[in-house]
Amino acid sequence: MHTNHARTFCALVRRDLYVLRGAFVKSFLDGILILLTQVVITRYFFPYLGMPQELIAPLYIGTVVMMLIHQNFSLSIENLLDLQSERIIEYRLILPITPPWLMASYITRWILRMMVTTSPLIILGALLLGPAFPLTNIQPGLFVVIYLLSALLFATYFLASSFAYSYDWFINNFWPRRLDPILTFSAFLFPWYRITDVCWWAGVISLANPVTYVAEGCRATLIANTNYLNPLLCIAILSGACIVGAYWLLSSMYKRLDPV
Amino acid sequence: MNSSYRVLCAFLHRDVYILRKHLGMHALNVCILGPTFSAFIFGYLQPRILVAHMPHNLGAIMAVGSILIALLEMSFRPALAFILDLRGDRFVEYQTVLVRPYLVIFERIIFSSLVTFVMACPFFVVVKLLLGSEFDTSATSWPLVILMLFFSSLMIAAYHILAACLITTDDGTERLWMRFNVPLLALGGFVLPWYIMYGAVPWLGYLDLLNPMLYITEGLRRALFGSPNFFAVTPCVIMLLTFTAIFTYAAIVRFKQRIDHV
Repeated sequence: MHTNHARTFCALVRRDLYVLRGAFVKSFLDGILILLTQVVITRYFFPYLGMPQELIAPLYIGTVVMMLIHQNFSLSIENLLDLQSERIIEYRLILPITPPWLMASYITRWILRMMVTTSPLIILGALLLGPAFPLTNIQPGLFVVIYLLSALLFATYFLASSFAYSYDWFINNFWPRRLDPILTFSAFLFPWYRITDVCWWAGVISLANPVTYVAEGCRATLIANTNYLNPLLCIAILSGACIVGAYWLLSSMYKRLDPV
Repeated sequence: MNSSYRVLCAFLHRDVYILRKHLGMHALNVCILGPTFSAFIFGYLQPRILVAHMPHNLGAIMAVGSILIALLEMSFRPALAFILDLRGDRFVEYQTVLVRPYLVIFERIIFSSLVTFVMACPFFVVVKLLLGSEFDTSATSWPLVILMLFFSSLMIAAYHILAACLITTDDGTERLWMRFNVPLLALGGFVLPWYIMYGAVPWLGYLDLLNPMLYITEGLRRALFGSPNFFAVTPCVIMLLTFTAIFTYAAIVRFKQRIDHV
């Protein structure tokens, strides 16, 4: 029985990989324009204003996190449109696969798409930022773990949201009423220690936000600096948030689709 | 009144009637939540984090750029409805039986720009209330701010309606934001005014003069702070009107192709 589920899961992922291969250039182009814009802003504009050189790399990493959020928002809309009109998901539900395995295939597809768009952003961005983003200090093992956990976290929560909310509510309210507060009180744009220096209570609130650990974990593993939150703490918090997210995803999916 | 224009007014009335149900929701999102978060991030946190000794009014100058998000988001909603209609029910084809295609496009642009303008009006009032003395309005010309907001809404509505006429694929809206809206926004004075961009990278400063979003932020900053560092309002309005005309014309041409108009 479990072999059947795994085989269907693999077939779905293989199909997604095939589709993704065809859309690789498009996804790459999507990321490259934002990459160039952000490199110019963080490397030239902000330092001209008087920003210290040490903030260039952490600010740039914030942009990559923003890209992940933006992409997941678009993927949620795709899922909502499917739930509203075509309902391809119903065809997938009749395949020899259980709903949790099906959700796992969705999450895998979303993570793969995130990797295609953001990997060039990280690698090319670091190269273009030059000495402001020294590649010698990277902790690759820890970074990969944090990156995958972050992608899993975003995929789980955004997919769960697309089941939990209606299309109209999501389109009109999700960004201003859910994402804006989450992004405002997180350390995704600026390093956490700088936020705490400027406004201590915003720093305290952002510690309760998993997005803070996404950004800080990436910063801590890509840039050698002791000011960022400990990567192991980030891994622990992100793992816990992923488990909560998975539970929310399954319950909202069961409520919306009511599979037998 | 010509019957075509009477039908046009009826269409406009219908759109306003439908919108009325969601007006409270949009007002809360765009008039209160949007400026509140923008004022905190871009007006308060960002300047303090980036610059050790913050110059006077820098927070306010940075916060002004965030109006672009509100304008883009608000004008995108009618455009998205237009995209879905063109790809689904095609109610618009019924409209073109009653009035000429260019009038249908005019109606969409007028409706979208009016909604965007009304929603954008309280933006700076809320930002001022939150930033207090850091948002110095002693040199503000409010009539010019209103004028700039009106022409900005008109241009951005025409831009999004053109985009709606051009988008034909499922992932078109995602592409629109990733390849056009986000880069145009980021280099359109959202983060910093033009004189800083020009000072940092002069050739990019000149290239950026082709960016329609730039004239929104520059004109608004001039009207709000009166500083000669920003472009004067008159050339900004002229540029916004020029871009509006170009986008409207292109939208009409593309729309006629989409509905196969004879």
